[in-house]
Amino acid sequence: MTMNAFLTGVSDTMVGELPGSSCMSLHAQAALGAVRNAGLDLSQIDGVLCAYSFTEPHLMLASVFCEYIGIHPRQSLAIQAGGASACVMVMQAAAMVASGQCRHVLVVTADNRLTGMTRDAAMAALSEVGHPQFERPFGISVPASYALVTQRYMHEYGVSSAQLAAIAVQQREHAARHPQAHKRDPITVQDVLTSKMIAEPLRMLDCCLISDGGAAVVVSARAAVSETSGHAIEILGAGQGHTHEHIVNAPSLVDFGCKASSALAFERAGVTSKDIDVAEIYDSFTITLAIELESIGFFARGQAGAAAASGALGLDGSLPCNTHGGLLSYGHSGAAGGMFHIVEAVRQLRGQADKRQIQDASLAFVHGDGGILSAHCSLVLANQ
Amino acid sequence: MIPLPKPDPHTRPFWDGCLDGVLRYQRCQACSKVQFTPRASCERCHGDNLVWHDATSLGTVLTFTRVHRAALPEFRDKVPYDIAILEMDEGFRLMVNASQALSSQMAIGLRVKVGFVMQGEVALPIAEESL
Repeated sequence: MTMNAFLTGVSDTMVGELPGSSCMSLHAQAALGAVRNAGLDLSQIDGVLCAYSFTEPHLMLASVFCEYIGIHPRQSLAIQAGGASACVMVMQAAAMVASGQCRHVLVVTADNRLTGMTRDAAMAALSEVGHPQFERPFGISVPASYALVTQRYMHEYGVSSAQLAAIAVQQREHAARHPQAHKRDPITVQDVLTSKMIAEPLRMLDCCLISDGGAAVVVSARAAVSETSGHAIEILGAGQGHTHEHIVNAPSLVDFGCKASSALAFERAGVTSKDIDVAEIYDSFTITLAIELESIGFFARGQAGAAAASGALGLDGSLPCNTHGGLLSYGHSGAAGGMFHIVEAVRQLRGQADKRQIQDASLAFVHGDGGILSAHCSLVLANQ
Repeated sequence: MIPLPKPDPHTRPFWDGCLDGVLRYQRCQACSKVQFTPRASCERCHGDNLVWHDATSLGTVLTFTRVHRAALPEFRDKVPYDIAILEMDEGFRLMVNASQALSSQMAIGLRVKVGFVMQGEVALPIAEESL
């Protein structure tokens, strides 16, 4: 099966603290890199998708970007699905090229949340996703919302903080192998368990980073792949799952849309979770990755943390996961955070992941989660 | 000032109830769906005949967290503070803070009674005491 769409170019900027960068300069750098990586000229791009920005918020970010970089595409729009945005944008781009409306869609994400605003301002902006009447008056934040889920999940499935910490430790090990990663110093389970408490039971090292950075991809139609010179990676399947926005309205505190989104993506791709060679899965918090890994079917309920502790998510493990270090250690720059997962998956499938390379990786699973486990999008990518 | 609720036409009965010391929830007259957060129409059958009922104010802690790092400066002098999601006996969920008295007892499954605390012009529901 197929989506009739291919990732033909990928690129990312440096991540971390990037003084001198701006949201749009990072957009431009990532975009030009992805177009070059595809072997295309900017004039061949006929569709543009952008996401959103905290430091340069605008009602029409895609138009702002096209103006900035000086292109006049046939289609241009912005998509907002929080952390699911990158996967949702690639799925949308796939539909745009498969329907014949576009040949090459440029999908761009970037923000400079670290140097372009204070940490407090970033935290405050994120907290606005809380329900204005029924959550925000009680001092809700994104970490507190995930903490509410964590507490319930631990209660129902007997998961421990040390097991969740093993996830953060594993991802830091991966980040240490990536020259670009924001955080590369090794950490231990003890470090995680003694890091500053944010919202019980989540501590600082259970939480993702705030980074500057950008990433972009080019999605091309089957008939247009011949115009590119990058190593084309097929988008074999994609799916989404949506259950709520605010955690107070979530139909369940342990079952989320990742189950439906991954099932759809696997079905469309004609594969199962057992066929996946490498997984790049949204990890805004350690609990996020644990719940997704279990809901998607990679591990039994309550077992993902223990699996991480036993090395299952390592480069030699049964499911190498977040081989770049993920949002917890590689970096998180708004919608680009999820795009880093996609870029890493493509590098793995192209055999360009250097010290992180999974031997003979031919099938990758990528997943994004927006809100409080609210909006999910899964992709199955293949080196055909 | 913390971000206080700005009642809209469909949530005002709830917030008015809080000022009167009564916890209210919506139920659909057509399909009996208990609905929270309040809306203009039923999330299940989409009918608009929603009737407000008084709740017992009794519920069970479904989950909770103690916040040590507040996202907004307005909450920084309150840390650590508890946030809980309660499963109310009438079948709706409510997010609340916990009273000082309750804080040390917070646990999943704890039976609690909801009271109200004034914040500016608004009364916010709060998990007041355990049963």
